[in-house]
Amino acid sequence: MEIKHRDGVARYGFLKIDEKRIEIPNIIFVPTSKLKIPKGAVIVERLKPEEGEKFLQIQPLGDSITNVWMSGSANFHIPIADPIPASFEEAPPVCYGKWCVVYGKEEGEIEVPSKKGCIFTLANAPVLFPKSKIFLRNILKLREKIGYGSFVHLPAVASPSNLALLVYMGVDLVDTIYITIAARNGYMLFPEGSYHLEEVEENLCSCPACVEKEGMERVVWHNYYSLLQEMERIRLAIRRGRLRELVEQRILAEPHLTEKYRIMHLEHYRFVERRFPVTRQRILVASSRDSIDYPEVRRFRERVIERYEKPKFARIALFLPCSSKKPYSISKSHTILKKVISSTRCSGIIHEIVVTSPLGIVPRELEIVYPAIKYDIPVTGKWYGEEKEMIRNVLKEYLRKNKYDIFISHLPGEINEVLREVCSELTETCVDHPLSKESLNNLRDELEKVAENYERVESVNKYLEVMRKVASFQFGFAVAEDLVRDGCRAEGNYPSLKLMDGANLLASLSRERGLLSLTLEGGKVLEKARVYTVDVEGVKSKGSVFASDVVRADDNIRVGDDVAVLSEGKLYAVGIARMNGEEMKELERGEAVRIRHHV
Amino acid sequence: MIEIEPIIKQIKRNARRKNFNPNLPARVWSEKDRVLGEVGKSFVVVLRTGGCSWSKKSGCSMCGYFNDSLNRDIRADEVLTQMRHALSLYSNEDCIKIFTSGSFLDEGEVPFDAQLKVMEMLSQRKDLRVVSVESRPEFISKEKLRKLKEVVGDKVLEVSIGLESANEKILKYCINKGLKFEDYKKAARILKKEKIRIKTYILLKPPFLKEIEAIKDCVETAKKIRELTDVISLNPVAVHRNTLVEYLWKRKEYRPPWLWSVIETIKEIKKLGNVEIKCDVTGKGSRRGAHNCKKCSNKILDIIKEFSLEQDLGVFEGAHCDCKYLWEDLLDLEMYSYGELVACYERDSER
Repeated sequence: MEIKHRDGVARYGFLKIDEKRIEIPNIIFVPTSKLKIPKGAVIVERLKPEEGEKFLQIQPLGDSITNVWMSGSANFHIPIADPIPASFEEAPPVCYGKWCVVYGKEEGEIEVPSKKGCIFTLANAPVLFPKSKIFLRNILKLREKIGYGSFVHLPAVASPSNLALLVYMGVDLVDTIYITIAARNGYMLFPEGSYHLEEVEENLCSCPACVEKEGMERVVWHNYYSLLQEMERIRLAIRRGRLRELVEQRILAEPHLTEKYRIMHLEHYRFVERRFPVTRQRILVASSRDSIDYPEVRRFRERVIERYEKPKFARIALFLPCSSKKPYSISKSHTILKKVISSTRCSGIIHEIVVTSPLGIVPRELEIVYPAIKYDIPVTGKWYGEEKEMIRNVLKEYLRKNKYDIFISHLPGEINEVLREVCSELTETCVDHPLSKESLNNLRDELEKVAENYERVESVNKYLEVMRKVASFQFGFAVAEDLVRDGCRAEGNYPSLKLMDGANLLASLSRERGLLSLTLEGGKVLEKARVYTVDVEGVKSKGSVFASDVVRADDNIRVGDDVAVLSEGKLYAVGIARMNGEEMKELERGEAVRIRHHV
Repeated sequence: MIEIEPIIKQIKRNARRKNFNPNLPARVWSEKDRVLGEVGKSFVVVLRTGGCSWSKKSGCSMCGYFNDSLNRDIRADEVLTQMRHALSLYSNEDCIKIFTSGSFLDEGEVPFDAQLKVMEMLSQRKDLRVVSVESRPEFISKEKLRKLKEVVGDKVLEVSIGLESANEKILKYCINKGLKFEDYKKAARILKKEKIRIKTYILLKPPFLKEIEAIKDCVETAKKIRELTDVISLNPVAVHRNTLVEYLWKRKEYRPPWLWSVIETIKEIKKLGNVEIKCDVTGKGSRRGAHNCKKCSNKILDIIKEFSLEQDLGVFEGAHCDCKYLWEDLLDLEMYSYGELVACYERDSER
């Protein structure tokens, strides 16, 4: 078993059974007397396995009446329930070897045997699947209980339109049962939905079945190719960290898919958040209005409240609109705005806060942090109700902890209604467009007017402030204090900054990661604080720490985090986490930390 | 180990019960039927009684006949009043079947006095050739049968027993029948000895079985009772109100059998040798009864009815519909689906 890539809850990797290496996620082909096994099949379920087949064969242990009919040549067996359960609701889980069957519960918690490295089949899946909340509860609880090292098999549900979502929920193995049934009812399945054979006149598809076959035969095999192709797309998306983008296109096919997708984010945030990376190479595409509830986005908002406090100098809160270019401050609009701000006498006490959807509020120092550093949204100038609600909530929370004397908004339009509600005596300086002459004059005049009440303040080193705030956002207040210590300097060309202590480089900040990358010197701070640390035994590799070496890891570690690797309690290396802390501890295989520097 | 009995009892406790007139039979009708090996007519009387003794104590997973029972025991005079009402509609059919939603031979359900009087009333009907009643095995005794037979005179007496399955596991875990195969055999031997015709009910698709398992079980059961019974009545499950089967069906954890399965079962049993198989599919092809797709259910029901009368397998040659492909695949797919699949294809047809 090896997980090579993770994208949220979804995984891409390999499963090894009987010397056969099977890619996951994967599709188990279920043949019938009318459906012969196709050439390319990788895993097949059949009643009587045959010798000398290239594919992996899975055999059920029998039927409820006659029970076991296991044959010696079978590679793998799925157990049956014995005795026959009174109802699936009350059926106890059954295991045989490395295969377990568990029954979803409408109420109460799913019962899962504590076995490692097994395949777990969620029985009664077609019955549970339409009940979104119940289904989500069962499938995610199952994953939580079996851990990262086992596999989830979901029978009789997968179709081209729901497959991406199922994998997004952490399903590793599906089968061809549903698509076969749909075909027998005359439905041609596509990722974007289904059509009945009789309503299709167009040449919709050029899969081998649609080219070569006709009638029912065509539909049955078209559905198979359609599912296969979608699976290929999903694997690619996982490897490229783009699964959610694919999922969001697919879930529009049926309302209940969107429903499940939303419930997963809304009701299972803690579970999901642990599995989402803290940074990605890929830009965060926030085209959908669901983006407010993306785990990374919600985490960003939470950390603004929990791991951030405004700079000491800040007395005046100045709310600014976002820009499509990131970081905001190098955009044309922010360059102009900053010029106005820095020309005023009170620039040293002004705190720039960008108000944006779906992130909420981005204090200037955090604009470099992922996902603020790379997200893209459709801009219409209109704020939707849920966006206003979100801004209202996060700003309210923020202002409870961070006090300002004065609030100025340079945002256009209706969002000021929200700011007005939350801030006492809000001054609005923007008319029509933020960069119009009138708006800019208003801003300048207002800032000058306000400045009269303050003594002239010298601008502090804002880049050092950036380092401090990013450090605290990334590792918490205590580490930030220790890392960005007295006498430190921030060097470089924003947004590429280096944190120096005398001649020692402690950490560097780059727009590519949107996080601090520590040096060994910087890693000492984590070593001392015992946070974001991974304890290992017997590491020799200079490139990677493997999960098998890990004896302890901080539960706060997420994929993409900078961590300190400790060997016998002493700093051994710094690097980037490739799994979260929980997974590092549990798994016996796979890269846990990619080492950057080691002693 | 999980037993279904408590669930059945629970459902029954929650059931709303209706009030009935104890002086009127529950239902009366006349039908074409196979009588003593040839096509004839039967007159069917469903008597209103206090209900099945087993159902009062516990009950079978698929049986909702208790819904039609009185909330008290019936008196002998009321039975006779009901019978008189019924017979006023009798028009010289060859056979009279008396159903009680329980056991006619159970003295607790139908007073023995009334049993004798009913037989006496029937013995006077000139054209009547067969009198058919139903009973659980425990109420079948030599003494009782001899007395009844004496009263009914020259009419052929037939007793139907609901065996449902010869598989002990299925009787216990799927049906909660409250009897063992051995009990049936004992009763059948008595009937045979007393020269009473035996009809045996076999249940097609008790809950918790896959379609293919259900077919296999019927065939296995038929194999075991072929020598003991005169007629096999194949009874596909219909979803009765306030039953465990209904509970599962509503949750889409149960689907009544396909009519294709009915045909398949009949064909397979016939292969064992010549035995008369009757099959009266209840539920009229609705979602609660055995059914195929909407397009063909009625046609196939007619064909099965025709077979019941003629006992000619040739009638099945004309039975075809595209949904048969789905059914064929389902038989295989269910082996790997870990649950009923009806949720998969019903959703499709509603789209």
